Amino acid sequence: MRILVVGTVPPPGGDAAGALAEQATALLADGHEVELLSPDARSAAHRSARLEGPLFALRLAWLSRRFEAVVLHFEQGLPLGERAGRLWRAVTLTSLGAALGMFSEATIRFDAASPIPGGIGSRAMGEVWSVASHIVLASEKDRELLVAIWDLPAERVSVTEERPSPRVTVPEGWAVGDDGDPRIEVLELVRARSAHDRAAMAARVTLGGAIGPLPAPPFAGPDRRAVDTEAVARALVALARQLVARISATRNPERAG
Amino acid sequence: MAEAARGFARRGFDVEILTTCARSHFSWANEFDEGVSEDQGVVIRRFPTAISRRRLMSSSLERRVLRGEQLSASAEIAWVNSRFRVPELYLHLLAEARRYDTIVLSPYLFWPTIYGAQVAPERSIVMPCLHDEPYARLTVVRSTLASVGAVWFLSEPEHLLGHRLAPDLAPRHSVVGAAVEIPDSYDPAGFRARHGLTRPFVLFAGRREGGKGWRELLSAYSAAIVGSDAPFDLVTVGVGAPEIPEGLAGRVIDLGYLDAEEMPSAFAAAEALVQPSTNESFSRTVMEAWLAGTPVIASSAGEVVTWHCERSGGGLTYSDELEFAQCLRFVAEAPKAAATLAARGHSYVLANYTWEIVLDAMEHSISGLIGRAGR
Repeated sequence: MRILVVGTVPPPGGDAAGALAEQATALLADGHEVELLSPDARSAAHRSARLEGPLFALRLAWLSRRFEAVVLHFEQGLPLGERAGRLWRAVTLTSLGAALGMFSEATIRFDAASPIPGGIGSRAMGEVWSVASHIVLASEKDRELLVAIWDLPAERVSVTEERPSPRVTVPEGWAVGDDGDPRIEVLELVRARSAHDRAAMAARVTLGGAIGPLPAPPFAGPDRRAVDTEAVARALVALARQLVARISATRNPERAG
Repeated sequence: MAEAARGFARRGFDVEILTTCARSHFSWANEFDEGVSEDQGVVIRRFPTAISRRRLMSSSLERRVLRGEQLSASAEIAWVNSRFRVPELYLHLLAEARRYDTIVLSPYLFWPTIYGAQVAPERSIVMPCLHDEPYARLTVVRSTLASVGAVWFLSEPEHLLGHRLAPDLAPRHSVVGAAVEIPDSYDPAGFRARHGLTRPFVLFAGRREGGKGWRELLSAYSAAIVGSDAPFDLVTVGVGAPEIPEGLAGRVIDLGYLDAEEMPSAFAAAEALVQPSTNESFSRTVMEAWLAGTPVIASSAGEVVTWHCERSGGGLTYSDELEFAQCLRFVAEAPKAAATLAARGHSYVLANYTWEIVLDAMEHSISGLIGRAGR
C-alpha cells in the first residue's frame, strides 16, 4: 500500500516528530511504500511544503490520486496557523475533511502539544472526525471526550502514551557489564526492548486500518465489541434490494401486481 | 508448618500438630482418619471438620467480604463459621492448652486460627501468611493479630502489610522467613524423559487459579507467542484445572500434581520459573527454583517476590506482557547471564532460608514469648 505521512519528522520536532518517524519506519518495515511530506524544511522528509489552509487540503486531494492511505499529524501550523479566524478555520477544515475522504484510509494523530483548531468539539472539526478511519489522541480524557461529543465508534479512537517517546533504539544483545548490578542492567535492557515493542505496536495500532489488525493471541476470546461486518453487509444488501423492489413497484404497479 | 514441627522435634522439643482430617482446601471434606499418629517424632492429632450446610448464607457472606463491605462483628463471625469449623480441635485446646508452652497457628484465614488464638492468646503465635486481600481486612483478623502473644511474618513486605492491616499489631512480632529443603540431587534429563518434554520450557508451579495469576500468565504467554515467538513451552504443575485454551494446546503442557520428590527435578529441568502471582506471602517455589540454579521471572505486581528479586539481585520482574516476552528472550538468548542471576538467587536462599536459620529465628521468638509469659 502507498501511504503518505504528513507532519514534521526529525531532525526537528522533538518527541512528536520522533514518534511520527517511528510510525513511518514501522510501515516501511511492513513492506508499505511510504512518502513523507513535512511542513518543516529541515525534516528528513521526501518533500516539504507549506501545509496550511485550503491550499493544503487541495494538495492532499491531488495526492490522493497517488496514495491510498494518509497519516496526518496535526501540529503547530498544520493545517492551521495560530491566527486563523473562525471562517478560515471552517473553510480549511471542511475542505480538509473532503480531501481526507478521498483516501481509502485516513489516520489523524494528535500528540499532547498538538493544537486542535477550535477544540475537539468545534463544528468544523466534525468534518475531519467523520472521515477519519482512525484517530490517535494523547490522552484518555481527550479520547472519552471525542467519543462522547461526536458519538464516534470507540474502536476508531485510540490513545498513545501521554508523552510520545522519541525514536527508541533497540539494544543489541544482552551484554551485561562486570561492574554494575547485572540484574539492574538486564532489567534496563528488558525495559528498553519492550519500549521498542510498545512503540512498534502503537504504530501498528495507529495505522491499523491501513496495515490490518494485529494478529490475535491464541488466548484472546472473541471481541464482544467487534462488528460482524459480513452480517452488516448482508443486512445492507437486503435493505438495498427491498428499496429497489419498492421503488420499482411504485414505478410499475402492474408488474408488481 | 509440618516441616517446622519436625525441625523443632529434631532440636529436642516436644511437638504436636493439631490439624483437620481434610486434604482439600476447597472441599474441606474429611479424608484422613481422625485420631492420633506419629511422624518423625511429631505427634499428629487430627480432628474432623464440620462444614456449613447453609450454602446460600455462606456464599452471600463471601460475596460481601470480597466486595470489601464493612461487616458487623456478628456477620464476620458468621463468615468465619460459614466455611468449615473444627469444634473438637477447639475443645482439645481448651482442655489441653496448659500443656503447651506455645501454640503456633497458621494461616490467618481459617477457623482454627481465629478461634484457636482465643484460647490462650498470651502463649499463641500466629503465622498469618498475609495477602493484601479483602479477607485480611476483616476486623476479626485485625483483632487476632493484635491480641496474640507474637506474630511471625515470612517476609518484610508481609510485615509492613501486617502493620497496615492491624495498626495495633501485637508488639512482639518478627520476620522469621520460611525454609526450603535442599535436595540431595536433581535429575533434569530424567524429568524431561519421564514426562516426554522434548522442547525447552518455562515452568509454572502452583495452584492453577485466579488468585495465583494463572490466567494472567496464560494471557502473557499467549501474547509472547504472537509478539515475539516465545522460544519456550510453558509447563505447569500443581492442583486446579488449568483450562488451557485451544489456541495454546501443544505449547502449554499440564503435568498435574507431582510428588514432592519429583519437584526438584522439575525446577532443574526448566529454563526459568515464572511466578505471576501477586498473592504470595513467601513464594517457596521461587526459592526452590533458585536452589536448582534456575532463573526466576516474576510479576512486579507481586510485592513479596519483587522484594526477594531485589534483595537477592537474582530475579527478573516484568510489569506487562511485553516485558514478560523480553524476559523470556533474555533467558533464551543469554543463558549464561541468566545463570549468573540464578546463582545470586541460590546464594540468597542459602543465606536466609535454610531450616537452621529459620528455626533459629523461630526459637528465639518462642524463648522471648515464654520468658514474657513467665513460664
